[in-house]
Amino acid sequence: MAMRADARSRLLAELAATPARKGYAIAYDLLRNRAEAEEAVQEALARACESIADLRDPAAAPAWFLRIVTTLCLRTLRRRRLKKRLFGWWPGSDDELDAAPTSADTGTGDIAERMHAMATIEPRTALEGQQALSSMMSKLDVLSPQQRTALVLRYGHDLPVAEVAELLGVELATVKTHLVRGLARLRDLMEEHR
Amino acid sequence: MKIPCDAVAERVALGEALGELAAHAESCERCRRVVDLPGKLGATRHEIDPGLGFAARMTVGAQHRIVARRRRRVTAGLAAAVAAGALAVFVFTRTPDPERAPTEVATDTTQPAPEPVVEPTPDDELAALIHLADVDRSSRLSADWSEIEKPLRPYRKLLQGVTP
Repeated sequence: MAMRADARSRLLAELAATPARKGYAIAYDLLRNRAEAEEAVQEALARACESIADLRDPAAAPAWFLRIVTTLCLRTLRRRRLKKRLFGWWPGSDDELDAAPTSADTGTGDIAERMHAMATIEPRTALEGQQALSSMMSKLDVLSPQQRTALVLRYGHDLPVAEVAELLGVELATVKTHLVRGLARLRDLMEEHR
Repeated sequence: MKIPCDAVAERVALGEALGELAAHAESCERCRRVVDLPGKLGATRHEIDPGLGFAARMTVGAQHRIVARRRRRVTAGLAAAVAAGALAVFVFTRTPDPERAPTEVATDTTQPAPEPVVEPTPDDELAALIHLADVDRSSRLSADWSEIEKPLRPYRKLLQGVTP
């Protein structure tokens, strides 16, 4: 019992260092919300520590942890989508469900940071870049949670397809399908908005 | 057969080189858009700083969750055990309601099962014969001979002194 608790606290300390930061980056890019991303990481840490007995190879712990984070994010995205479908008709619910990330979420809350950004980039370019980014984000929201996750992990985090498949817990061919369909859908959405 | 646009989209999605399709991708506007997409998607990544004390925050949060979940599991287990115990006590200590018993009999419309005909065994027959052979017992128990002989008295008088 004591050995197990010891192994658990060791694993927690190990995961809370580098893998948790990586997990947080993935969770944030998928959920676009600091609080939800932190919750996903904490929940994944708790689950990983509770199921330590299931882990055969301790070296695989970081990858296992990231997989839990991705699964939790996917679940949150699905829940959001369902909520939107169920309560999207309710007046005012759009504001709540489609709330754009606040400055606290985008990490631009710091005035010094913003001043620095404005000084280095021309305002017009910065504005256009911001518009293009928010347009892309709104189009990503239209995709299914799996397609969105596959695209964000593949292109946002530059992960190989095999690693994306591992994180999503699906076959390689399934990830390829999600990528191809997701890109095609994004292209169509961009054509629609032209 | 795949049209070149689909092939380009597939190659871009899988991160493969366009090869012979590069010329088509250059000339086709749809394909150019697809080729640009990975770069645009890459721009959506935020190099976000999780803030000071991130590891400590995550560790404490995870520990809280572990403790809360364990407590919840213990509570749920106890509640289930108490519920099972209460059910078991109820089942084993339950007695049928005496007021309801006649109703149950009255509503029973099924015919009583006929008694099975038991063939007398040789032993039973022998016992019956012995029982019949006990004349004294039979006469004592089965009939009042004084009453039976009362109507025969006149005939007895007629037969007095006559010897067969």
